[in-house]
Amino acid sequence: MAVTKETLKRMIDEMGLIPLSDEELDIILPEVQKMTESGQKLAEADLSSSRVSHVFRASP
Amino acid sequence: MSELGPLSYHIHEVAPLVKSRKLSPVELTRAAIDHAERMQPVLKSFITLTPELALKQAQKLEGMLMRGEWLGPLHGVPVGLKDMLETKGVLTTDGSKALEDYVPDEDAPVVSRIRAAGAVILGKENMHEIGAGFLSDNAWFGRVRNPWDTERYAGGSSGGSAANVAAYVTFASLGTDGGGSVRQPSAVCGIVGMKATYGRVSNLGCLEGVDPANFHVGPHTRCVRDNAIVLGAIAGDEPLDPSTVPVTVDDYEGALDRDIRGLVMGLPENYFYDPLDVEVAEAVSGAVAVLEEFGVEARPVKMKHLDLLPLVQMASRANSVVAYEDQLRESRENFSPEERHRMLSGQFVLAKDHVRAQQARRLIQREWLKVMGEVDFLVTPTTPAPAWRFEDTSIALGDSQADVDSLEGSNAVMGRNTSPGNLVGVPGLSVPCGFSSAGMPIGLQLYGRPWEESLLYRVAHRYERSAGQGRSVPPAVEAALV
Repeated sequence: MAVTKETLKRMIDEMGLIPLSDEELDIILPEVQKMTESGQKLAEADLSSSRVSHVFRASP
Repeated sequence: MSELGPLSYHIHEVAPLVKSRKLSPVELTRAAIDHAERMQPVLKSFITLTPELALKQAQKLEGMLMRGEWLGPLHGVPVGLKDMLETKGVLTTDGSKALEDYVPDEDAPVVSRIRAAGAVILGKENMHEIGAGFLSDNAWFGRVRNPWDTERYAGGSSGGSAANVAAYVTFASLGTDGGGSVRQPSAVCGIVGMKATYGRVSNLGCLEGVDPANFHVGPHTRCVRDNAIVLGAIAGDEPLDPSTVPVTVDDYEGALDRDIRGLVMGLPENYFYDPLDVEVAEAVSGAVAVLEEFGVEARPVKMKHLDLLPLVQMASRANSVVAYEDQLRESRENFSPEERHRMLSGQFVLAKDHVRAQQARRLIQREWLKVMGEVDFLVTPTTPAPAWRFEDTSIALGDSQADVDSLEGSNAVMGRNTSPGNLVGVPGLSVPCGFSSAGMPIGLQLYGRPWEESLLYRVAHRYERSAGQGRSVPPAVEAALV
């Protein structure tokens, strides 16, 4: 799934994120695309033995 | 060496002189201030020098000695603090123009502890902007230069701290390590650097430019014994800091001379050794051979899931955008472009990716600790290469070339072997293990089991004593003393 500049603009407008200029979006877009790929790889990794409840458990 | 006078001593050598009043804290502090002012134009290792405060503190400590009060081996010893550590009444910038006016109301607990141990604070040290890189090429406060070759990087993010210790400006400095930022600059500046177990030293009052869950405060020193002394002074449970753990602090210095025969060292077969600069590979092999001569058994080990590490790091970009959201909204031009864009991209990290990254982190940690059940410690190079020249855009690692022209590229090389230790929270110690043919220091990294800093100090101390790691003065210091 490709992230576009338009997607980022909509996210900024609709979710109240830090506003970015067109020039900044051009620079940041490749970084966000890398993050998206990274997220996809994490989703594909077998993390089943690492339970969410153990990641964010309350310390005694 | 002689022109450095008492500044050439180690902490454990200067301590008895101060205690017996053969050396005055005021004289020592004056000498350190003079040397700091001599080296600052060369190294750019400080953001703020505080000579008046240092002298006032030294006078007070001298008065205590006159009354027969001695606070311990750091009494009257000049030290430096990375400018990420909050200091009451003294500018604390995190290496960023965005915080150029920030003067904290309180000391970070770790600063209070080192003051209470009697150390004299010379000033706040230059660093990579917000601690997010390994170069300390700071757009606002100057490029920190390596005392072994001033045309090369001093490492980072605690670059000013490591450069000061290597250049005999401070006897010790406190840095912070979120991905290797104590160990990496220590390695490339030829000194000793420790990142203790997560929770061993309070990180409250450290500005949170990077992932706070990876974040450690640690000492830079010129020898292992001094490092043990400083860690002993700053370690321990901090009631106001939920990140610390009430685990007994060992007598690190007292354990240094215990035998290391019979210990088992793990040599990772994957990740840490591939690829390496040829001279780093040779130096580390030599160090492993020395440890084997001392009766340490070498055992190959495989570290699992480290391929997930870059994915975890990518998700951690969300942290700095939260830490600096106000500044990014109101005055983002006060961050250098590369840092600014890296932080701004972090606002697009999805919560599900951040949670999965924490799952991956736990997985890496669990497998790492399984390996540590089979060996007493791991041995790796601290960095895959020695410090490179400012003009270098790529460096040779084995048969390949690594891009070091971008923040991402240099971080990938210089943080490769140190950042796993931050994710799993285990102690890591860098100790010098020789020089490259260009005269640049090389570091050996030891990783231990949680809370076993003492064992790492023992091994490193034994290695240091035998490996002929004698004192030498970096060329930049020799030149400045002429």
